[in-house]
Amino acid sequence: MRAIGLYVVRRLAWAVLVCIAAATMTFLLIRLAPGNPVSILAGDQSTPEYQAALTRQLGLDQSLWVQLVKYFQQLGHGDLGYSFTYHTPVASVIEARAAPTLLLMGLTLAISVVVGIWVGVHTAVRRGSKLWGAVEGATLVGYSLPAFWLGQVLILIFGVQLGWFPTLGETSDLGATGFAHIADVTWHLALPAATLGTIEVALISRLTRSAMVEALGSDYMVAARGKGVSQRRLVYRHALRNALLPVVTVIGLELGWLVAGFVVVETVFSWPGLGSLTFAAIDARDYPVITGLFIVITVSVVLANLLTDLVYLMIDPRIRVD
Amino acid sequence: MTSVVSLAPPESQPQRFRGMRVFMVNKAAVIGLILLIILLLATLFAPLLTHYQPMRGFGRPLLPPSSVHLMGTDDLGRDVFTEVLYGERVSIIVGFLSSAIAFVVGVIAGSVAGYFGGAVDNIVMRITELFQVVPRIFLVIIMVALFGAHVEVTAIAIGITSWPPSARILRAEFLSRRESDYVMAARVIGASHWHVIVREILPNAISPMIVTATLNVATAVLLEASLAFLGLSDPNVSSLGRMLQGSVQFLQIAWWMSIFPGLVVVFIIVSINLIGDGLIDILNPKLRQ
Repeated sequence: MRAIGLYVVRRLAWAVLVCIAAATMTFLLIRLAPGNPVSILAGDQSTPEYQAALTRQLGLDQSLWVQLVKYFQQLGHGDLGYSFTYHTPVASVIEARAAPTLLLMGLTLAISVVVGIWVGVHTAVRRGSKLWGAVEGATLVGYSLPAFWLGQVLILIFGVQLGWFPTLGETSDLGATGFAHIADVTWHLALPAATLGTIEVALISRLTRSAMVEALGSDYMVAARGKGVSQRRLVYRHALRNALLPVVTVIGLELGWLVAGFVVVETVFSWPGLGSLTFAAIDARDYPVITGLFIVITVSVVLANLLTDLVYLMIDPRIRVD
Repeated sequence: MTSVVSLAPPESQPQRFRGMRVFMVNKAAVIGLILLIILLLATLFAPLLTHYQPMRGFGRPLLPPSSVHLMGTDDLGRDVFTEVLYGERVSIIVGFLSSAIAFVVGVIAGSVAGYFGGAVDNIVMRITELFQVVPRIFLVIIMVALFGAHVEVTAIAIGITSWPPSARILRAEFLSRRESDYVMAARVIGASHWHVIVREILPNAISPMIVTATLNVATAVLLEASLAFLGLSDPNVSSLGRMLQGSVQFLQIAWWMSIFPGLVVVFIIVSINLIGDGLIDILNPKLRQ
């Protein structure tokens, strides 16, 4: 029991440390960059009064240590800085855009995990089958597709040629409520979700396949087969259970990479979430928003990984013994 | 300690030829290699393949593909075929350069962590994990936006965020080899740490790194294109990613602006991933992912 407590404390401390390190990285990068941190953080068109106020607030005329301490005090209060293009605090800019991203990410990730594992298991078990061989080849191509281009191809086929789906935004009927509103959003969600889903399924199925191939070749499989366990049970109860843990770990590590997918896909489809916000912030060189997004997304990814660790603790007895 | 001859068992010549044969038998890998060579030659001899120059308008805007403009023209009347040929250069330079940077950082971090172990290992591996968890795209965006969207800045930014997997792999190799007989023998003779790391262990441990370095090229090409798509590219040089940004608003009327540059990005990445898969089969069938 004590070992578990120690494990949880260690993971928690690590999570906090990663967030502090990420914030420190942005702090140092802004100070190392060519140009004056005041104009980077206040924007080129800012008034001298605003620049002076910002300098006082962030201690930009004092030593680097004082600046770092002030920066962390500010972050501690949940203050991510002030956006000079939106004229509001960065935290509220991000908050206003979070829901569409969570909807898009959550939906595609949930579907992709199920489909990706299913495809991965079959490409591993049915090696030698023509059909599943072709599917494996398709996953390699899917994994190599730039998300922002796949999105454009889907727009060309299903939006422009066939006209089945809308290609821009989250809604077209602003007055719709209740069920009509849900249907409208789902309609708009189809193409961006299909774009991200294709790439995620390719990635997850390739991870699952390699973990399954290794699990299927292990000694306990020979033993189980010798015992006369049925093929179905062999694959799902014995091999997949062991293959799943490394797959989940890698999905956790790849979350940071999946972020890249939604940033560009949201930009293609003008989906009003954090990805389009990133694009707009880059365009305006609104650094407080860019660094704020970096910190918020790092914290989310770290929390997701922490959650995975705790789920492991419950389902994998080996961790408790260690 | 240069007088100490390497005690590591040398990889025999015939074995290398065997590796070559396994690669050549792997049809997918050979296709990847041929595809990559064609793409490299096309961009290298771009001036011979097109009589237009990049970044300049030569025709009416938004002309569909024809014998005059093989892939049509864009909204500024530039020849898409020419832009694609020259745009490939940035992708390939950034891809290989950043993979080389990641390789060097990965070798240093992985070998130091695996060889010395203990506290050194702990610190290096925590830093590795940190870089792996942090959303790379944002770190790269911040660096490129702050330091300027030049080819070399992009390559460095991508390189120093993509070394963790190779460092992890090399560390594992070092951990499993540092107690082996030939390392012990070298130590007994009095070989320096430097000699043991560089001359004894590294030559034997490096092969899985080659796979990671290859796959890193593909990831870097994708990341560079994504950055350019988001508006972070050198405005004076043709770039496939930026072409794909420009194509978004013309999708309804000019499909060729999107399809051709996109296909070339996909061809580059697929060819490198196919080669990487082939290398996995040769170097370590168990690593196959």
